[in-house]
Amino acid sequence: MLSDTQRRRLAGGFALPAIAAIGMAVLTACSSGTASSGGTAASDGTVHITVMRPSAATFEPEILAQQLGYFKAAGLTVTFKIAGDDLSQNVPPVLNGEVQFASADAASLLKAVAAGVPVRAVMGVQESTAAGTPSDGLLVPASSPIKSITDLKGKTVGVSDLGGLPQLTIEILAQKAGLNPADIHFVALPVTTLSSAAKSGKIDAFDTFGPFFAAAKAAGFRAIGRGSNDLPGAPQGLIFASASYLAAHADVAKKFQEAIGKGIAYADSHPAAVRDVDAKYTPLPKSYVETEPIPDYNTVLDKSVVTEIAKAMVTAGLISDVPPDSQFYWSQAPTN
Amino acid sequence: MTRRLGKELLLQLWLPVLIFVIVLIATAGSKSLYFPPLAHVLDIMWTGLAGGKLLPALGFSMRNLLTGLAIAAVSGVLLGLVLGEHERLRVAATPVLDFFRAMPHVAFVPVIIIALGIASAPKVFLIVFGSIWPILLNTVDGVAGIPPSVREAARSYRIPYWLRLRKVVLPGALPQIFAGLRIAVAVGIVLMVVGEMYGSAQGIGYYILTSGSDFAVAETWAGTLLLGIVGYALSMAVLGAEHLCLGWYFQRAPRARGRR
Amino acid sequence: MRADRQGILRRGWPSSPGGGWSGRVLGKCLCVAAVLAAWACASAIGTFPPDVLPSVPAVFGAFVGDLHTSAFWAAVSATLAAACIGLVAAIVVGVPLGLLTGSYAAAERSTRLLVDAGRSFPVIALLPVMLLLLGTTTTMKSWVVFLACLFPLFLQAQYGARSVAPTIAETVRSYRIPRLLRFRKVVLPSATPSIMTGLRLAATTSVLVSVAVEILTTLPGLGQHIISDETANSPAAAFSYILAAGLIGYAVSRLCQIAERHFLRWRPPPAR
Repeated sequence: MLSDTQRRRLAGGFALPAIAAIGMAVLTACSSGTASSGGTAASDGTVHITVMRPSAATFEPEILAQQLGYFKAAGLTVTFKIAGDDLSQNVPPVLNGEVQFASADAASLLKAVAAGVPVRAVMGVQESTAAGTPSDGLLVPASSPIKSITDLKGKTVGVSDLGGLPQLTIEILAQKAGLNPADIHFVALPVTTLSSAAKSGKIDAFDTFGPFFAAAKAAGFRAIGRGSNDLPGAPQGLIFASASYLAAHADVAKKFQEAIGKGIAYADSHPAAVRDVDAKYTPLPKSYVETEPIPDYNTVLDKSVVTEIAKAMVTAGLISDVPPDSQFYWSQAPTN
Repeated sequence: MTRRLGKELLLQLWLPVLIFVIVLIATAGSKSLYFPPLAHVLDIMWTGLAGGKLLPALGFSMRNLLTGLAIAAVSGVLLGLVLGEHERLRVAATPVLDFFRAMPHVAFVPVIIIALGIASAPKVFLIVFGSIWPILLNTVDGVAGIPPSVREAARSYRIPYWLRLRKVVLPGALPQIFAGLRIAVAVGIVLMVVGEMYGSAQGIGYYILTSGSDFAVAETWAGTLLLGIVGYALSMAVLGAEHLCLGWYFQRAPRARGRR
Repeated sequence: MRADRQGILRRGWPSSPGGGWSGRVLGKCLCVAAVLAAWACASAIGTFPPDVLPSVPAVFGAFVGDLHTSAFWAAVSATLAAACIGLVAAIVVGVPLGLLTGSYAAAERSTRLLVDAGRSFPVIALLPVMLLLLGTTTTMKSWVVFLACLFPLFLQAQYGARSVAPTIAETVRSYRIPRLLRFRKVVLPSATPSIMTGLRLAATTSVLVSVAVEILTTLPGLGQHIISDETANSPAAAFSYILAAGLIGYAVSRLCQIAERHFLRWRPPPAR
């Protein structure tokens, strides 16, 4: 009934499902293969763990710990994965065991813990500090009538993400200065468009960081306050893990703390090494990396500042109430 | 007659209803972080629509989507008529049009949003940019597919050109145009969602994204389900409009048509 | 019958309208040139500032330069790999199920509502939910591509299975031809044109969804380069990646069309 050519074509048609079946097997193999057993000793005697590091900030001590062999000295073999932009993207691999440790800032971790996600802060990595030149902050056009934070009443402030540390810092400082934070109107815009939006008058002020801050200042914008320097001790980068992993592998977590702690100590005393890591691993322009202010690395988490941030989040309606310390901090996390 | 209708409805509804009930019961007491009880999700969707945040978000998105689709439909059909009527132009333009139809329009989302801002206009532009191609190309196909005998008959009766366009060409191409419209709706919804997820301060895509980022899992599911319902309702609406306008042209599979 | 077939083969491709072969090629090139000229005019006049619409030479220069970098090809393979895995999985699941529901009317009517709902669902809207469930992983990207490609393939397979002419179906049944043989020799060949259409649709969808997921998350691939170049204020580089994505989408679509025409020479492909 069918000619030879048609028969051949149908045979080809069956080859396709066969290939597809193999492909399906590959897909399932891939997805099951990534569920690693991090935390138990592997054949080479070290413990293999996967760590999610941020793509462009607060990650320098982790890289340094890897480069200087601190992980090996602690008996750990670390594989780095690059984290997604948003914490909600990074939590699932932590919860299902693909990744053992990941990074976050205090505000997003508070959001997760308040929503009932079973994760705990293991240690701090980077915090804001009052010392040194500000590398971020609130900016207004040079001709703006805004002179201090209380002038923000009723104004529109642009930020790169709603509900993040920059916005919360401004709200905390506003409250300290006597202004109701609800009177400030925050709007999120892509970070590259903040200065042009302020110039064209779409927003009255904006909060930015890093090279964008430096570029805007060079372009003539005026800084109000000293940015995160006005709220020292706020964890801009901390490491967290799932509560169940910490309960089962406290020893591994302790070794990890040790290694990162050594990396932090090195970073604090060798700013040139930090600049090298930034130059190599980030898309930051070379001119900025050579002159950027080195952040303050610290393993200790400042409980009072974290509580302040949590309270500001409650006021802003971001979380329903302040999570208890036992839910936020691991029992063996270094806190003050 | 009603018994047959009832039997037909039963046959079409038993599986969806069964799955719904199974999911409802299976997630009833769920403490899982990522699979909240279906009843809770539906409750959030209801309260969100009845005066919460979902209704204005949905309104914003729908306004942009319908504006974009309307512009795309009108310009797509007009351009398609022009191209379909002129043979050489159509053949020459086909590779360019195919390129624009096959390219992933979502690639333009970052460029447009970063360049033009997060207001409504860039989103409408994106939707038009993506959904005009299926309409355009299907109109061209529809016009080109009108049998030459019909055209010759119209010409031999000396029907004036504009009347011919309105009464012969356009209705003849309408089935294809509607097919293109259905695809355009799907493309438009995707672009609307991606545009809102990437850069926006409001809209249902924004609502879903921020709920996810705030770990408000039930709200995320609620927004996603609502979007699914809206997408389904829109495609059914287009199908309904098609049946209304094209009652004289049925296009069912031969098997269904075979039961004479 | 034989003479007819030979006659068709002897005629070769049906003669195309719009002038001779060289005239058509000239027309197509002129059209492409016109589009490029319009672009060059727009950027020269400055209707859009250069950071919105970079100039033609800047984009093509960046594109040619990118072709030499390994980062570009790594991005292309990342996008295509996830697209392929999802597409293949969708073929494996969708085509058999579609053929099944197309062959049995009761199955088709039972699943009609679910399939219609699934078909009209914008899979990208599932992204936040998928992120919550699977996190930022390539498995998640493949899953999203799978879900997006499943329904077109399912529907086209179903449509193809239903398009067996009733007289043939009844003849085959009255000769009591066993089910499996009936399926292999009658249903499958009749369904092949629709399945090939479905493959074409699904292939272009897979690339599109893969790029969309990369734009909305930080997964590596073409979309991620577009975003990082755009935020780093190098629109020419971003546009070169957009051009690459467009060319890949177009190439996939053309390849599928050529494959369709080749495999279905014994039966003309259905209208678009």
